[in-house]
Amino acid sequence: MNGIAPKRIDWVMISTLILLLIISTLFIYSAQFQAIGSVGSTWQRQLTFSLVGLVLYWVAAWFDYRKLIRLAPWIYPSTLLLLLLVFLFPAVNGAHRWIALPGFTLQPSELAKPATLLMLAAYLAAPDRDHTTHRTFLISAAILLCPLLLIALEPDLSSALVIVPAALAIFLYADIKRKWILSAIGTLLLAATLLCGWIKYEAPLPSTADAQNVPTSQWKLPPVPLLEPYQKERIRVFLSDEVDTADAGWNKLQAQVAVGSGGFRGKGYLQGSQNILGFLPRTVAPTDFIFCVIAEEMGFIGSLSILLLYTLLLGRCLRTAWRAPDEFGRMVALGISTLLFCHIFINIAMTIGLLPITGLPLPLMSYGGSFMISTLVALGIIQSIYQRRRIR
Amino acid sequence: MKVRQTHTSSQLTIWIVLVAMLAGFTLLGRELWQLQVKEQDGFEALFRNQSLRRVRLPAVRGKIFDRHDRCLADSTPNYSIAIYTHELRAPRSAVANVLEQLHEIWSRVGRPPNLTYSQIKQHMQQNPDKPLTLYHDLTDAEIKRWRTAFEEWTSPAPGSFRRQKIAGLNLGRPLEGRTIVLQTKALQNRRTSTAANTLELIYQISERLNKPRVIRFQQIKDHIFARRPLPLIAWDNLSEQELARWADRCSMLPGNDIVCIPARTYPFSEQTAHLLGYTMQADADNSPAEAGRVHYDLRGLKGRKGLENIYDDLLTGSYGYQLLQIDAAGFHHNTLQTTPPVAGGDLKLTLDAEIQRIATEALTTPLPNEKSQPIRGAVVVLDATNGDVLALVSAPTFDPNRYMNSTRYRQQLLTDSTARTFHRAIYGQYPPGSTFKPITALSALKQNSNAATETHHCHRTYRNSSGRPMRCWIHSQGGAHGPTTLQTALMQSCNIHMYEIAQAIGYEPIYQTARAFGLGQYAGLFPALDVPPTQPDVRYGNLPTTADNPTDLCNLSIGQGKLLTSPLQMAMVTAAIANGGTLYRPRLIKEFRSQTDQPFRPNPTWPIRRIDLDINHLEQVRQGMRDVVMHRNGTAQSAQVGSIPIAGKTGSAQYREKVGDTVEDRVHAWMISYAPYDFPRYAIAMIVENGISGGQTIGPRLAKLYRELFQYDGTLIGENG
Repeated sequence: MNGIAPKRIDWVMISTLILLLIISTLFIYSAQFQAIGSVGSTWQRQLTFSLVGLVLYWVAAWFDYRKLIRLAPWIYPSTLLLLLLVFLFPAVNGAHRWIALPGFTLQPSELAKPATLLMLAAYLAAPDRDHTTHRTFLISAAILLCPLLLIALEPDLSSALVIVPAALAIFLYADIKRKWILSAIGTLLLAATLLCGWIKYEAPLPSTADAQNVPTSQWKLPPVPLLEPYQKERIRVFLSDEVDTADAGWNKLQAQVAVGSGGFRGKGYLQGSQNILGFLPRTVAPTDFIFCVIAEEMGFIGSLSILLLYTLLLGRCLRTAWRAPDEFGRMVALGISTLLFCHIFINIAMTIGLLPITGLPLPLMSYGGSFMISTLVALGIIQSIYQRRRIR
Repeated sequence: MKVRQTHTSSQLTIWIVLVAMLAGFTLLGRELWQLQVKEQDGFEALFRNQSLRRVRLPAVRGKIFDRHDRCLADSTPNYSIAIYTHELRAPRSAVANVLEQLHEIWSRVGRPPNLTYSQIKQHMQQNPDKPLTLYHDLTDAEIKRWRTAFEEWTSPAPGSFRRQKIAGLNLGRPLEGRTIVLQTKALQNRRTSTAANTLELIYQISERLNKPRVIRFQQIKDHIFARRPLPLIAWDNLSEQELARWADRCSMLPGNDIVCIPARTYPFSEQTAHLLGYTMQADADNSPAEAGRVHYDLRGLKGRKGLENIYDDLLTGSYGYQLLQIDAAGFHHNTLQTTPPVAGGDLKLTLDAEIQRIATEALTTPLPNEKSQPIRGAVVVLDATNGDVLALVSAPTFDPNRYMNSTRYRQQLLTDSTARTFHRAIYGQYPPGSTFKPITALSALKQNSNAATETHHCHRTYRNSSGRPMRCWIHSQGGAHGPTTLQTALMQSCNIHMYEIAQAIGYEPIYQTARAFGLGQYAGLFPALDVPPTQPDVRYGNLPTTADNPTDLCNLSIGQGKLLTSPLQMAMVTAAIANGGTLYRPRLIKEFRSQTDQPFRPNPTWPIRRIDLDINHLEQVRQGMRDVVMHRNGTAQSAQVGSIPIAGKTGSAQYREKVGDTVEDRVHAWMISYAPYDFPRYAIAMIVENGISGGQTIGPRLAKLYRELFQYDGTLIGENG
């Protein structure tokens, strides 16, 4: 039944979430701040997205999530359609990721990810599903791979791959044969290792080869097909120990300098000089690198507080998975929690140099409308599950 | 319907995810601790390295005053137009693009295009889609140069095989016939560079101020490349009208302002040029103390000659520092901290600018019978009672204000045959000639008290003790002095008398007396301030220690031969004779202070030695010197001024100079003098190179000098001399 029962609402989750949204708006203001009177309108847009998202959050919480089992077969294909539509729109920086709408650009991949998890959960949670058959495994793998391939073709590989652990968690939960899962993972890992090795010893492209590259006797492999040069460059930066400050290593170094120079207490709100002086590139500071801005201005205390807030939020989500009344609810809560965790972990790890630079945003923090709204709706669904939990 | 049970493994999955999350966040937290707390210092250093720049600022240079506080060397503001390039990064008009390409082409063709700024503006306003002709009458040499340069300009970048495109120019056809045409259409929607924006702003200011552009485009590019956070000086030395016009028409333009750079001026320009010297821009400081600490050195002034050079440390003051924050593009973002420079200290000289002027005029004004060629010579006026330097003049002179600003003037002076920058009064080395005779006379009196009354005979066939014929100056005029006493010998400057008394006493006594009067030694005009005075035993000039033969001895007795002295040394000798035998160190620095907010500290007078003389012997010599000027038979009657008794001694030192292919015998005209005779105040040495004789060349000059001097100090009130 649709509806909201105030006594059954998880108020801790909501207040954590609202706190994170407030912090987000404050630091997007700071990320655009260069001097008094020179602030962009980004923070206002972010505030609008947050408010719209919160309304949708309440709608999702009010909505009975069990109806999603029947809606999922409609939602999932429509997001796939959007992912196809993306290719009709002009590429930005060589990637087809956005659908330009008046006043708003839609990023369908952010909608497709939770929709895929919903579909997987809906498929696997069907009462008569036999999880031990090949057929079930192959169909659920297909459900996963369709959007994954489409997103990877945009190209936006990291955004596609981030869904894999979430799907994995659902598979594990659904007792798909571990032999198959493990062999799939093993194949993927092997492929990734081979790819990394290939890229590392790949012969440089003729256009990037210049007089500085002294020809060595070292044997070089032929170029890697399919991958874009910029993707290879990123992986190479990650693999190399020495920091290439001039090119792709710049962002990584500057992000580390921003976080590191923040120190224990930080430089103070609106005082993040790395950001103000533009060493942290202005285009990505409010999106992918918002955590750097917080870490620089608020120091270790600030960044640790953000981590704790996320832990609290995700803990409440997992608690929902634990106490959900049915399989579908558990799988959805588990999948969404894992998806959010992967986003958070990868984003923060890349800003402090643990992982290569990818374009993954930080949930509830990074500037971006599609992701903000899809995250809030996903969390709204979790709230909907939570308030329909079993009473012990 | 098959109802699936909740397996324990499913429950486990939730736990696994939870543990994985906690592990992940713990890992992140640990890494953050490592980065933000443990390695904070390293990252902060990295941050400072990339965003902080230290600029060294020069201090305002100290002033130099004369004894009556007239300013001799001043630091005056030099108003300049500074361009702040960091405010010019936003794209501006397409005119900037056109100007940029025009200058690029100009630098390759080698001559300015047949276009003005207003024509370009007009073209871009009215029909920017049409091509713009930059040159229309190129010569063959220019075409050749342009083709080569264009080839080089468009040569492929490293690693590429394709020639680079130049916006607005056709790769295949760099010129059409004898014209170069720029396709301004291609430049319209191009992003303008900071250098191009700066160039356009400079053109705008140039147009509004009606002042030609002096900075080249390459200089702008170099500045943006190497000194990005600092303002670019586009014009300097603005006049008051230009300042007013700037405030009226240019102050509303972005990114430009008036800044004030301290500059050096010398109000008495030529009169004090040799003594004060001049300043030039300081060299870059590569000292280890500053290595790595200073990124940009706004070089100040450094003294290069004279007092400016010798007391440079005191006058320079101490540097200031400015800590700038730069943004990722390297432009100035804000100024974090400024340690202002401390202005340099001041010097107050014993020099009297008015006496300096009088002395300069007396020396350089040609006498009625002289050719109006530039006089080469020097005057030193000392205060006889304490050795204060009142005037120190060298001629010919130069204009230090012009010298500092004009390369052409500097080169002209370098090749000047009269050595105009040479300070003859201090560093000139001349044989003193007959002005040395008082020292010979004093030596003789000291050895033999009867020397004053002994007579010697001046005749035209005189031979010295080695049998060599020796002459007196009067022999060349067909006469002889006949019998002379010491006093008349001084008065008439008889050489024979000096030969006789010198041969009677030998070389050593004369050498000792000359040394006691400071000849052959360092005068100590520029002592280190603030330390107890010392007189280093440094040879200066030339006073031979022994004579090889009687002829050398005779030559020394009349101040010829190997003996060399400077005008300053002869003035010191005069002062010592005048004041009764105390040799003072010439004092030039009267007072000094190392900081402008401190009181002046005195640089005391300091006698080098009390010369061991019998006062009666000195009196004999002094009377002889008075007769030189005051007696009707004296050699320098022309130096008389009214009724003031003046003592002096003329000299006509012979020297040989190569003129073309022949060697000519020439004469340095000398005179030393002090006045008033009874209470000596001034001791003067004056020399004119290549004169006629002491009496004829210097006498009238000395009279002019004394007349104006005594009018200036009030001795001659109401008298016209």
